[in-house]
Amino acid sequence: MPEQVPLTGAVFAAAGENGLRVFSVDGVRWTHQQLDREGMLLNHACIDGGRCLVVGKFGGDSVAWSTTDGISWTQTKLNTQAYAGKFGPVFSADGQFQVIANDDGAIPGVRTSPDGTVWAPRKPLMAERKGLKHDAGLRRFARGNNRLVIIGDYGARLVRQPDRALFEAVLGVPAKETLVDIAFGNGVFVGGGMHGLRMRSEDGFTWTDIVTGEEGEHINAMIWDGRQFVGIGQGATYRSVDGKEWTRESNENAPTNAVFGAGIFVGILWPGKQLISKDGIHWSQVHEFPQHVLALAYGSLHKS
Amino acid sequence: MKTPFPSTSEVPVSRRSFLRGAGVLAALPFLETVAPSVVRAGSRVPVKPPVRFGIYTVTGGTVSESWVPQELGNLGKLPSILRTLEPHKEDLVILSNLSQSGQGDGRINAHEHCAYVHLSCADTVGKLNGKPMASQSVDERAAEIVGAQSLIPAVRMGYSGGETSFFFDRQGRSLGVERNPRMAFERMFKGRQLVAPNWSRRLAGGSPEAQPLGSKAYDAQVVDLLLDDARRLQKQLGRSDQGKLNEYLESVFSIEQRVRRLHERIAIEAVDLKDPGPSNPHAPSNLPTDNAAQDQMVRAVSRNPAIHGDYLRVMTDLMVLAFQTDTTRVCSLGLGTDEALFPGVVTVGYEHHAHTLEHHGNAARVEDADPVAREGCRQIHAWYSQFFTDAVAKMRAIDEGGSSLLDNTVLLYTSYMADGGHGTKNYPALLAGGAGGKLKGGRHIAYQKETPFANLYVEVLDLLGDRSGEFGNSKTSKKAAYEGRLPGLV
Repeated sequence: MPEQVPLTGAVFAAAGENGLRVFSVDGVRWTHQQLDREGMLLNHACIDGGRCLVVGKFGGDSVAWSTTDGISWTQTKLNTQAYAGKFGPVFSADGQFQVIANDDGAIPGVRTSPDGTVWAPRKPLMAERKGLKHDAGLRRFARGNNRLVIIGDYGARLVRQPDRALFEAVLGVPAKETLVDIAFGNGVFVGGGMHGLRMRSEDGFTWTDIVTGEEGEHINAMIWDGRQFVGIGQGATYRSVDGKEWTRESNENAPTNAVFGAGIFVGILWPGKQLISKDGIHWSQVHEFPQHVLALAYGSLHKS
Repeated sequence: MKTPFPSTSEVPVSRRSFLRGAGVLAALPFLETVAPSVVRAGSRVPVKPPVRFGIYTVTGGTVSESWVPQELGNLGKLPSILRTLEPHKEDLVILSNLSQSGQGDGRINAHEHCAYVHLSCADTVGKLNGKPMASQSVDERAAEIVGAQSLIPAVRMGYSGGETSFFFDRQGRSLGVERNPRMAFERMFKGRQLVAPNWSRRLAGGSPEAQPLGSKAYDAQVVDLLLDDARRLQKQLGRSDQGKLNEYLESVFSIEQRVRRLHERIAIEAVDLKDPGPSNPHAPSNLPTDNAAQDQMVRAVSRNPAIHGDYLRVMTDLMVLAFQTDTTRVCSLGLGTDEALFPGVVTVGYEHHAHTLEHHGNAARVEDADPVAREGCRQIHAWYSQFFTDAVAKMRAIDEGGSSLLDNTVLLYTSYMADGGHGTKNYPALLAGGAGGKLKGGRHIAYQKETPFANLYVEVLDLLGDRSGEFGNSKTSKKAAYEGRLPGLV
C-alpha cells in the first residue's frame, strides 16, 4: 500500500520499469512507491514548481505522470497518435514543464505544460534542423547565464539565447565530442562524455578546455554540487571548480546516472540498485528495487 | 619423394591392422603414433567421433574495430569484444572481409534483407505471397549431409523469426525455430535418458542394428492411420487443396521418420547406458521448470538483460547437450533481438535500446557515428561473446574419449548483419573447434575485400563431407573470389 502521508518539501524522485515511481527525502529510505502495468518504461523525471513530472512509454504511447504530493498521480498521453514521436527529455523553463519530441528527420519539437496534465500543442524547437544529424536524439539539458543548452547524439548542441524563442544548433561539432551529460555552475556550462571527455563553455556555442581521461572511464553524470563540478565516470570521478583544472580519483561501484541534493549524491545502477555517496567517489547501496530505475530528479513538492 | 614409413599421425591406423597387432602392442609401452586412433583406455578400435556443425549467430551486427584483430596470422591479444575468448584462442580461426552481395527483391526491408541472405547466401531474396523466400540455408544443407546419422537432422533454436528469418529449406521456404527452451528440451529428449555415446563401441559396430518394429508402437500406428486417411482424401481434392495436403503429408512423413529414428536411437542408447562414453550429460540447470516459467522468460528477454542472459545460457547449454548426446549434428542458435533493452550491459549514456544504438552507432564513416551509441553496441557484443565463450569452454571440457566435443565440432560465431547499419560487408566471423582434427586454430585470416560469405559455408560443408564445392552464390556472386573457396582455412 502506498503511504498516505502527502510529501512536501525537498525530495528525490526515481522512476523506472513497470511504471515505478518512488520518493525519498534523504536518498536512503524510499517511500510512496507506485507501479503501473508491466512493460511501462518511465525514463525521464523532473521536479519543479512544486510538482514532479515523469515521462516514458507504454506500448505505442508516450505517457506523462504528474503529482504534487507523491500520492495522487495524473496520467496523460503525450502523443496524439500511437507511435507518433519519441518524447524526452523533460525539464522546466519559463515556468513550464517542457518535453522534447525527437523524431527522425523532423525538426525537434517541444510540448509545454504548466502542471504536467494539460499540454500545449507541439511547437518546433528550432527554425531548421541544420546542425542535427537525421536521427540524432536530444538527451540532456542545463540552464544558466540566461540561456538554455541541450545536448544530444552525434555531438548535437542546441542553445537558446536570452529573449529568443527558438534554439540554434552549434555547427561543426565532431561526433567524437559528443557529450553524455551537462551541468551549469560557477558561471559556466561543463559537459562530460566518453573516456573521461570534459569541456566548458560560457555561452554554449564555444567550447574550450577539452580534455579526455582514461579509456572506458565514461562520464555518465556531470553534476554541480554547489561548490564544484563532479563528473561521475565508470571507474573514476573527476572534479573541478571551473571546468579547467580537474582532479581524478578512482571510484567504487559508480552509478550510471546520478543527481545531487540535500548534501548527498544519489545514483542508480542496474538492476534497480539505489546508491548514495557523500563525495561522488565512494558509493554504497541503500536499496534495490525489483524494477530497474531509469530516471532520477531532485526538487521540492508541495500541495497546490 | 615418398617416405617409406609415413607417420601414423597422418595415416590413420586401420581397425584391422590395429586389431592384428593388438597382441604385440599390449606388451609394448603406449605408442604416441597410435594414440590419436585409440580413444578410450582399453579400447581396441580406432575412434573418431563425428564432426558436428554449430551456428551461434547474434543480432545487430557488430563493431568491427573491436571485433577484428589488426594483426594477421597467429592470434595475439584479442580485440575487446572477443576478450573473454582469450583462454581459448588456440581453438579459434577468425576470418575477415567476408561479405554478402545478395540483392533484395524490393519487397523487404533492410533487416529482412540481411536476415534472409545470412545463412543462405542467395543471389536474390525477398517475399513470395508475403512469406520470406531465399534459397537453402547452410544448416539445412549440412543436415542433408550428416543429419541422417543422428536423431534430429537439424535443430534450430532462439529468437530468429519474422523479420529475422535465417533458416530456409531446399525450396527456399522459411523454417521454424524453437524459441522456448523447455519445448526445445522436450522435443529433443522426451522419452530418452541422457547418455553420452560410447563412440568406440558405436563406431566399432557394437551398437544394435535398428530392430524392425514387430508390433508397432502406438505413435507409429497413429502415423500410419493418418497417412492412409490422407491418401484416400487426396484423390477427392482439387489442385490447390492437393498442394496443401502434400505439405501436410510431408509433415506427417517427417513425423513417421522421426518415430522410426527414435526407436532406433532408444535401442542404441540402451546399450550406451550400460557402458556410456566418458562424459556425463545433464539437463541445463536453469531450464524453466514449467510452461509458465518458460513463457515468463521468453517474454522478458527483450526487456531484462538478466533474464536475457539466463535465456542465452540455457539455449547454449541445450546446443551443447544436443551435440554431446548426438541428438543432432547440426544445431543453430539465432540469438538476441534488435528490440532488446540493455540497461546494465550498456553503461554509457541513456539509450539502452539495441535497435536505436545500432542505427546511431553506425555511419558511412566510423568517425561520423555517434560514439556513445557505438560504445553501447560494443558493450552489447562483448556481452554476447561471454555466452559464446561459455559454449566453447563447455565443449572443450566434454571428453568424447581422447578428444573433446570441441575438437569434433566446427562452431561458427557471427551476426546476421555486418554492422548495426544493415551492413553486408566484413561480417564478424570466427570458427571455433577442430572439426575432427581438420581445422587448426589460433589464426586470423583476412581475405580480399567482399569475399563472398558463401565461400566459408562451402568450406564448412566440405568439412562435413560435402564435395559439391558450391553453396549459395559462392560461384555466382558478382564478388566471386578464390573459385568459391577460402584458401588456407583448412
